[in-house]
Amino acid sequence: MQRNSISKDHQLTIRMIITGLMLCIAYVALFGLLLISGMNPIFVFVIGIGMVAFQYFMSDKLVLKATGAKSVTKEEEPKLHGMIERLSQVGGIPKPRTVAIMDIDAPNAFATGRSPKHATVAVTTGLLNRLNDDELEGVIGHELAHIKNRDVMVMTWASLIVVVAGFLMQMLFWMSLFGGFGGHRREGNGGQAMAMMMAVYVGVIVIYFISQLLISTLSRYRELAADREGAIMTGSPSNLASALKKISGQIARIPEKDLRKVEHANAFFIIPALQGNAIASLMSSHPPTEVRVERLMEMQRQNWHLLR
Amino acid sequence: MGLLKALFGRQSKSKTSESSILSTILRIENQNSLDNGKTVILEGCSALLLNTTDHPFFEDIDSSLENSAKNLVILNSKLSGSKSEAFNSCWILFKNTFKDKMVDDINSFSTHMADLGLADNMTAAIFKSLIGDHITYWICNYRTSKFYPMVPIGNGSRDNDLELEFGEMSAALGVPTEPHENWYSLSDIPF
Repeated sequence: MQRNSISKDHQLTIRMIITGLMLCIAYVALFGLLLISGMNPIFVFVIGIGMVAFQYFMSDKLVLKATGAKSVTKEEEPKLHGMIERLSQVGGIPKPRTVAIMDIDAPNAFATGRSPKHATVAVTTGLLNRLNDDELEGVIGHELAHIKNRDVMVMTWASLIVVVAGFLMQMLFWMSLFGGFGGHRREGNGGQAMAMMMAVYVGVIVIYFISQLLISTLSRYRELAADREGAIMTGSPSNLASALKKISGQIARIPEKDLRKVEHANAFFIIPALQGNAIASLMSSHPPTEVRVERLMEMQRQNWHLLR
Repeated sequence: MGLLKALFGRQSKSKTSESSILSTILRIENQNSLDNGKTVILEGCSALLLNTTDHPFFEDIDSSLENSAKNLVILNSKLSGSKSEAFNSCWILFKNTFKDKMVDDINSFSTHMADLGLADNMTAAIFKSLIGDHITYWICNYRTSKFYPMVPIGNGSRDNDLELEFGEMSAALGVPTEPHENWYSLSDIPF
């Protein structure tokens, strides 16, 4: 009972629901635009669904191929397999079908697969070399939480609107280049039809960017939820916090120079955050590491040992 | 008031923020650090770091401090000064068992320095604390009005892991905290 009450973050859940509702509105708006433009929305969405379904069912194979991750057996990596098996049991999900390692120095990890039964967890050699066992457990817990929360499914299908809007944008762009939106073919009200199509084009672009923004927001919320769920699995939020600090290279960014040697270089005068950073953070799929670490450490301050 | 006056050489419109920036460091007192749960003890000594110029104030630091103390009737802390030739800088030490008074004194002294035309010379205010076994300095950069922790471990090295942990703690307490890339070192802190 206590575990349940601690594991819920109602504020985060509400934010995700609101973001989902806003995405629904974007879907309706796109559907309406297609109707106005005279295109068949069913046809366009069927094409979009086909593209997303391919991505959804092939996600594990595509990602493994793209990253060059190699599947490893229990005999080859007993510690990693043991850790994943144990945390999967704690999380109440089947052990992922594939455990893989990417021979990359950059510390990173990912989980993919359309369902817990078809899941893959992959880590880089850089991650294995840099993190201690506790920190690695924190990262694995986070990735397993993605599987448990079915984030691949949620994010893939949520991005359908971006796929459809992107497809439409390209289609309308080429139509405008070669067909003049068909205006020249329509006698009498050709100009009006062209203006209508231009309006649809602009509307599709707006929906595309708003949807992209909403999906990035949803993704950041799912990351925070995975941090929380992963911390519950391991029983130690600080493990993941420590790993995140190492992965993000925060330590590497702390300078060794003396304050007085840089003082005259006006190094500190860029006090307000740059505008570009703010936009980049809005479009980012992950929340800032500082925010994630802060939330995890806040969890650590509570009595998280009760979850062990 | 002293801090921003030192920064801008004039009175700021926001008096609340002026007086509160330095005193935010008092929030760390008796807090528990996040990871190891050790209690933070702020020590009764701190310093103001200035870069030296040919201004008369730096010719004889001891007598300059004596004169300053006479002018500043509200100054409760014991003052002492030392020069750091390697960095052309000067340390003015404040000792006071009442930490809130010590912070007030640094503020007053900073205002006094600004009045002497030395606003641009002020680099940082440094506060010493003990967190478990670790001596931790809290450096308030006067250019940015933000704090960051520094945990020296000898031979010019620092414990970056602990610094990050303590930095998170101070930020969580609402202490204005520098981004990590500005956590510059101070190699010759004399206290």
